Amino acid sequence: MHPHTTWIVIAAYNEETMIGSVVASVLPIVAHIVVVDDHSRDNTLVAARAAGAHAIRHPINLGQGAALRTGMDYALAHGADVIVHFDADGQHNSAEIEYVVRPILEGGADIVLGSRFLKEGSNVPALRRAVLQGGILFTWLLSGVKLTDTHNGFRALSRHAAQTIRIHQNRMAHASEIIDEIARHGLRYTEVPVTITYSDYSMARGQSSLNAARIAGQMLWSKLTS
Amino acid sequence: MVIQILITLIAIVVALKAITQFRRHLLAPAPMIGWIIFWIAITILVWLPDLTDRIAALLQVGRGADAIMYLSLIAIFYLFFRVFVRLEKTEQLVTLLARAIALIDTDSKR
Ligand SMILES: Nc1nc2c(ncn2[C@@H]2O[C@H](COP(=O)(O)OP(=O)(O)OP(=O)(O)O)[C@@H](O)[C@H]2O)c(=O)[nH]1
Ligand SMILES: [Mg+2]
Repeated sequence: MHPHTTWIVIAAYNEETMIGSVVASVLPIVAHIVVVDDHSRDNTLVAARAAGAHAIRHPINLGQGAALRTGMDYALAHGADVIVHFDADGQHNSAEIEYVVRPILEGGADIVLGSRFLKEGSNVPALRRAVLQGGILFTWLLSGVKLTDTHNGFRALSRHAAQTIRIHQNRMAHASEIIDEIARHGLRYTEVPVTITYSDYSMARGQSSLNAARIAGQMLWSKLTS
Repeated sequence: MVIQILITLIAIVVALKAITQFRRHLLAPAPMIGWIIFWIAITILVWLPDLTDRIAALLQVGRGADAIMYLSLIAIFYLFFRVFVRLEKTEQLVTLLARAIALIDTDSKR
């Protein structure tokens, strides 16, 4: 087996207080990290570079979906064999990267999706849990793929999957879109349990549950018009 | 009578606006001509109620005014849809550009 090059792609928006520690927690495990600063109003770019990541910046704010795409393009251009999406807000655990990557290295999957609901004792707040269940049902109806967690930003893609999947949804609807793409291209996928930490920081900055309806609308619209 | 004069005035203003927009290079020739023809047609229709009544009979709706209402509603929905799709397309182009710029910038820095 030839040595694999894994790249971590982190989309970050106004995360200057957190991005440094997130990069620092990942670096000992994976040396190649690219942070895409989505035109933050703070110093996310500088903080990411100072922590030792590659960092690039969008000239305007485009959203997490677009930032992940840019990061993946960067990683692919630098020879990535495996790409891992990782959140900038400290909700993911870098010690779990190896579990997310493993099915791809073993050749059993093209894409691995993290699931907080497969993890025992996860502390998902009740409202967030309800909204996420809605997302799971929605994705199943729309794409015919039954997962335990559809809106988890922790995932790993093989080079082939990263080149195949087309993300057109700039903002948060990209999570549903990725799953739709898995179904469309018949990619091999699997879920692994991951921890999502809900802290005051993440809750204050995270998605409002109301936003979920808008995201569903965007996804439906694009399905109808494409 | 009042409504006919009012609509005619509106038609003239909008048509003139289309021409000045065209002069300032803010509107392409085809849509300018399209708008002018559209407003001339509206003006003709409001001054010739017989014509709209005949269209109404053809479409099998009661009155001429109703026929106009239905047709304009359809036209508005259609235009709305077109604008929406165009907007989406523009957004995708902007995205493409912005992402390309982000990646070019790194090439020159590293
Ligand atoms: N590039 C980019 N990234 C964003 C944007 N908004 C959020 N992010 C990043 O996306 C990641 C997840 O964002 P959150 O808003 O926490 O979404 P989430 O984790 O799915 O939802 P929560 O359960 O509420 O935490 C973080 O790393 C953010 O920095 C944006 O507009 N552009
Ligand atoms: Mg979050």
